[in-house]
Amino acid sequence: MIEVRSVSFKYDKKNYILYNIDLTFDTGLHLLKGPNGSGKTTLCKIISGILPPTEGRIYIEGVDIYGEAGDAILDKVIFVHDKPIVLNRSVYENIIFGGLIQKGRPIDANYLIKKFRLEDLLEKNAKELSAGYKQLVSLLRAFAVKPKYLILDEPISNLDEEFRDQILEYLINYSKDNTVIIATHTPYLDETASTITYLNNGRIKKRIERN
Amino acid sequence: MDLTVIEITLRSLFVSGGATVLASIWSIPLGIILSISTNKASRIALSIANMMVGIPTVLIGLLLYMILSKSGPLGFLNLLYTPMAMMIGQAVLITPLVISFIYEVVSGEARELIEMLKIYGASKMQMVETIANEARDRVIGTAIIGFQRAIGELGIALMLGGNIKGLTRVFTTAIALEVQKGEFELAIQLGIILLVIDLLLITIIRLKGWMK
Repeated sequence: MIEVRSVSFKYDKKNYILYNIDLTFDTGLHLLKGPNGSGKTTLCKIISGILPPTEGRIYIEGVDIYGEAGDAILDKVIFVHDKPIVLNRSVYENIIFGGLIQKGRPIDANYLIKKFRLEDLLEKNAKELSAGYKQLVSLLRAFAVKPKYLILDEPISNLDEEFRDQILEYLINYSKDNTVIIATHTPYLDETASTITYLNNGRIKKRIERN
Repeated sequence: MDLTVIEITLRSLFVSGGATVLASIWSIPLGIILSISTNKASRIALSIANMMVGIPTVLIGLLLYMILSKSGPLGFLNLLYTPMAMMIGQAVLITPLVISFIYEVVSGEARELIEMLKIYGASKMQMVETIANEARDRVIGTAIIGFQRAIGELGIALMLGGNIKGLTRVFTTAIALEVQKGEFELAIQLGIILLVIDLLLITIIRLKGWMK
């Protein structure tokens, strides 16, 4: 479980990007919604351990992720940026990157490569791919390490309809055993999400919870 | 072409090329580490590097002269008035420049890459290696700019090299000497070669898109 406790964030001394956020995310699919600049991406980064909050704490499985024991628990968390990041390497190396960085980390790449029919592109330099394929590779890199907590910022913005549906189906299935948080503008997952949190001006405007 | 001109050209390229390699060995990783780190010490180190970019070459020459002279702490190495001393001096000179440029390159373009590497649990060494590889073109461009600064400086070459004919005479020291002697022909020849090298490097950087 991810617990967001009284989290506020500001880049300068005056303006809060997020203010006094309290949320919990259990196993399931969770959506963060709101207009541009509402604080969705900032919240995703704070939960992922890459942007310490100005105030408040983030607990994952009861561990303060910015505390001394935080690094170990963050191994279970993967965040994928909205802007696809691919390395100047082959598509295959990009997908198994998590395993290259942490030797011995289990990687489930072959299943994903077959599922998304990327066999013919494996040797190609990922930098030469279209924006849609770059986003797909960024997502598959995250899926391949099977994170317990998967946090995605606008994961389908560049994908065509076919890949979009496949990714959404994968995420719905994946969220049955894991915690998936998605910052998105799109309505595609509204019906299946466990919770939908609406942010506005860095504050929680509304939260819908389903059992 | 005069043999002296060829000799001075080759020595200048060797000394400044060596200085660039030396400086790159420590400055590129350091610049990347400073861009990855968010602590106060890193910010202070970067501010110092930025301040040092424009430091007069004679000051570095003076400092290293005192360190490398017979009575200095490293006098026993007998490096003073050797190409190696010039190389070290020029490497020290361009270190802040390379660090500052690398910082700009990495923090400006690779912020999300740094975040991605942190998310996947990359060590500092893995981050440096990956970022250097991803920003390879810009890193090469930065090293070339460092080389240009090194090959065009006079103070360090003069103070640490001593402008010894056949041993430590390079473009800038030779030009200065020939002008003092009133021998403009050799000075102009060397000046043109230095200018051509500079223009060639700028053209390569621009054409390859190694620096914006």
